Amino acid sequence: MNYQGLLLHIQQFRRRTGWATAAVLLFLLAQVGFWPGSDAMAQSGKFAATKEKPFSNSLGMKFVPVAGTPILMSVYETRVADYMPFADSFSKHDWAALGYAGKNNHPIANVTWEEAAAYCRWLTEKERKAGTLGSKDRYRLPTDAEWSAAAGKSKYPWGESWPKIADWPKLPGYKPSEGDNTAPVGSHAANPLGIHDLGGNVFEWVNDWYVKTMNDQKIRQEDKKLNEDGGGRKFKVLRGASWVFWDSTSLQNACRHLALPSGRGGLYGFRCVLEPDGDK
Amino acid sequence: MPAFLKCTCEHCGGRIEYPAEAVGANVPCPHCQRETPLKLDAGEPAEGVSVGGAKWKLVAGALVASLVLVGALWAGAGWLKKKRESGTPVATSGKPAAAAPASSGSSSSAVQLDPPKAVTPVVAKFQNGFTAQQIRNGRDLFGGACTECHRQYDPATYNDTEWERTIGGMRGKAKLRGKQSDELDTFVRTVRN
Repeated sequence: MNYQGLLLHIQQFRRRTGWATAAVLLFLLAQVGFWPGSDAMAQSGKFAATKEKPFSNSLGMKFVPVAGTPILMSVYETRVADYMPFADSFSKHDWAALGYAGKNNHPIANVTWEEAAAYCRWLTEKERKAGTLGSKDRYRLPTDAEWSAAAGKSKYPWGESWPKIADWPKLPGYKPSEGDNTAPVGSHAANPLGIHDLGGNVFEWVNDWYVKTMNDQKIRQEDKKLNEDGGGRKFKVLRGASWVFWDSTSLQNACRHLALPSGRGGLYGFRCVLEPDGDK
Repeated sequence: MPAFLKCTCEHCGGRIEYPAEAVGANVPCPHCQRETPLKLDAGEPAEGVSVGGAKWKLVAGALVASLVLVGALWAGAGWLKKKRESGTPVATSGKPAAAAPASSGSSSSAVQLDPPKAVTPVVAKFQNGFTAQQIRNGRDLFGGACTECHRQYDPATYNDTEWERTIGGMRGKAKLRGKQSDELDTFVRTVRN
C-alpha cells in the first residue's frame, strides 16, 4: 500500500466510523510504528519499495527494504557510473584515460571511508534538491548491524558450507572475469532480499568504528591485525570480502575487516543505504 | 448557571424542583395541579443543582473514561512497540561476535554519523593500472600459494616494510621462485596504492 492509498483508506474508515474511532485507530497505528516514515512504512510505503519493485533514484541506483531495519539498501555496490558525477563535481576526470571505458557497471574501488561518507552526503543533497527525497530523508553508509541484517544469518553469503575446490571458481570474488579485478555488479545471484555481491567484488565500508570484539576469537586468531582496534575509534569496518579475498574466513558473513578512514585500496568500495526521516 | 431548589407540594406531597429565584411564589403543582407555595422544606437543607447537571456529569465521566482508555491504549501500544523492536534481527551468525556493537547503535535507533569531513575525491586508475597478466599472476599467488597455510591478509593493513618482511619470510615456505616473489610484491604494493 502506498502513501496515497493509505490516506484513502483512512478517509473511508473515517466516513464509516466517525472521527473518534478513526483517531483512536490512527493513534494506535502511530504507536506501533506503522506510520508514514516509520520503520514499517519505510519498507513498503514512503518509497514504495519492495524486493520486486525497488526504489530507484535519479542515478538509477536501486534500493530494497531490509527487514527489521528502517532502511532501504542498494541492491548493488556503488558503481563507477554512480560515482562519476560525484567525482566530476570537484574536477572533471578523463575516465577513459584512467581505464574506466566500458567499466561503468563495475563497483567503484579505491575509495576511502571519508570519500564514501562524502558521496552519501552529496547524493542526499542532490536528491533533496531534485525533490526525490524529503528534507529529512538521507543516504548514508549502512551500520554494521544493518549490513548484518542484509547478509542474513547464514555463515556464508550462499549458505552454510564451504565448497569443494572444484567449485571454488563459483565463489564470489574468485576470478570474476579474465583481467578484471572486479566483476560487473550483479554478476552473482542476489540474496533472498534481492541484494547482490554481499560477498566478494569489493569490500564495503560501513559506518561503524572497528572494535575487536566484533570478530570472534577464532577469526582474530587467524589475523592478529584484527586484535588491534586502536581503542575503538581508529579504524572503520569493512564487510563482505573482496575480489582478492575468497578464503573461507574472509567470506564469512560475520568476518569484519578494518582500515583507517583515510585508507585507500583497490579492494575498498561501498554500498549506500537510504534512510527515510534519518535526519532528526 | 441558575441554581435550583427542591420542596414538596403541601397538597399531595409530590417533590417539586424550582429555580432559586422563584422561592415564595405560588405555582400549580406538576403532580396534582393544585396551587402550592414554593418554599424550603423544613428539616431538608436546600439542595443546589445546576441545569444540565446530569449532562455535565456524563461529559466529565466520558472524559475520565476516555483518558483511562487512551492511557490503556498508550501502554498497550508501547508494549507492542517494545516487543516488535526487541524482535529485530540484527545478528549475522548467532555468534556473540556477530552481534551489533554498541558503538553505532542498533538498526532501529537513530544513527549518529561522524562529523562531515571535507574531502576531494581521488580517482585511481581502474585495476590500479594492473595489466591482465599481473592480476592473473598476483591473484594466483595471493589466493593460491599463500592460502595453502593461512587466510588472505589485506595488503592495505600492512605497510611496505611489513610486507617486505612477510614475503621474504614466506618465500621458502611457499616455494616462491624469485620472479613469483617479485610479482607478489608488486601485486600487494599496487593493490595498496
